[in-house]
Amino acid sequence: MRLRLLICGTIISLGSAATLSAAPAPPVDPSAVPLVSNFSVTSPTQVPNEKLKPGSYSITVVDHLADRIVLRIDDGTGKIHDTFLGVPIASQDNGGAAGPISWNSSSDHEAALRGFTFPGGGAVEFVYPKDEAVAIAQKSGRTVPAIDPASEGMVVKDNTLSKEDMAMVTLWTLTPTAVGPNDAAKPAIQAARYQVPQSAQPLPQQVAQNEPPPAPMHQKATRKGVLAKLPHTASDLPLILIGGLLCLLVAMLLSLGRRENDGA
Amino acid sequence: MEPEAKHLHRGRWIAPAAQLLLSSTGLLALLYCGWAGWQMRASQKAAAAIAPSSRPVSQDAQQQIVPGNSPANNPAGVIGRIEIPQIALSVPIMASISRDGLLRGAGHVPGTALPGGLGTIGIAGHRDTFFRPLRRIRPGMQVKVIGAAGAYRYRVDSTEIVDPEEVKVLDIASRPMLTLITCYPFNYIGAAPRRFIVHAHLLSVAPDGG
Repeated sequence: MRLRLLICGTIISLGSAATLSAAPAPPVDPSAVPLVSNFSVTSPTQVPNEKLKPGSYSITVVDHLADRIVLRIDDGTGKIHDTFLGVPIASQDNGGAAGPISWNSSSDHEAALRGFTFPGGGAVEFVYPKDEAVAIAQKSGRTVPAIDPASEGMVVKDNTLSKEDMAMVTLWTLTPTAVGPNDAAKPAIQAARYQVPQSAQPLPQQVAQNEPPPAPMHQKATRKGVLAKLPHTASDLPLILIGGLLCLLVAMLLSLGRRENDGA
Repeated sequence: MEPEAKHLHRGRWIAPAAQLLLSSTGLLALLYCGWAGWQMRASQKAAAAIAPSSRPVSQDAQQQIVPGNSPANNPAGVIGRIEIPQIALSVPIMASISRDGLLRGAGHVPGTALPGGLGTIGIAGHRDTFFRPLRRIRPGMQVKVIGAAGAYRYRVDSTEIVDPEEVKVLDIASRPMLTLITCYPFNYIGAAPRRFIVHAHLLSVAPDGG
């Protein structure tokens, strides 16, 4: 009897453990954790727009928007290195321990940071410029968030977008996909609009307390219209050619008529 | 002088003047067409030089390409080439949709994505010169857009006919797109009232090197 009870208890506990591990972990909320964190890198490390030299750095959450987070990396002297965008990372991908999250890089390429886990569990994934994101996606074989400001007519100054552009730039995800036999070595990279992972809660509109309040960013600001009207695409060339030929024809007829008159 | 003689005298003067005027106009028109043809040929050569190609490229053509290959760096020049082999279309992409730009090739619609970019790239061309073969385009055909970074392949999804005010065809969609624009009907004489639109999606963000 005791043995049966023991076996039943073991089965129930194993079942519960399996259910717990299969259930999605609670989503990450970066606002609930300290918004500044220090880290160091021991080898040249790629972050969006820049390659960090070995040394100590701090990462700060500068601003939260509906679907994105503005991050900043400073070095030990307080010099701003990089301001870039991040997105909430699905909790099961956050790597657990606080600190930088690296891409699962093979030994043949330099380290690139995927994101950062803040002490307490809040984590963000870095959004890379298109070309850097393509390279990372090809090497890591994983989906990389990306932006392409140049394709939206935005100017990148000192590796940084303006506040307005950071709020408006379209977020994408780049996913390596083998679509043909030739893609085994170099897969195609398919792009799709970024969507907030279901396991991530919407980020609260909270600003880091150690930052001066930034000017409000209009997440829903309307994009400048590309054109008011589609371009007029009929060339004058055929009409000019036909008109020119007609002019010459009439001139020739006139000349012939005059010769006939002169002859008569 | 008798009125009849006056009339005859005036007639003798008008005919040579009209003949001279018509001949000059005709010659000027032909010269303009020749110059336009030369411009088209020059931009075709420049477009051929933009990406690695099997065809030899002259030094003149190489000199027409401004480094950087972006409309901002190259406001009046060639920024790439568009090819649709199945309808024998190979056209230089100019940096703008100005009159001059559209005379020399298809024009990149300012503010839209760059070749292979994340967004929607808009390219407009004259229906009676460079984009005339678009009459035969069908869904499933591949479009190759070549820029300095390499060649990007798009696949045609659909075509539609819209009014010129329907600029939403250039909006950013759920995936990177290419929108080709030309006037419609194709055989219309003068300024055609509608626009023929080709929608294609990007197959890979990674360029294939041309």
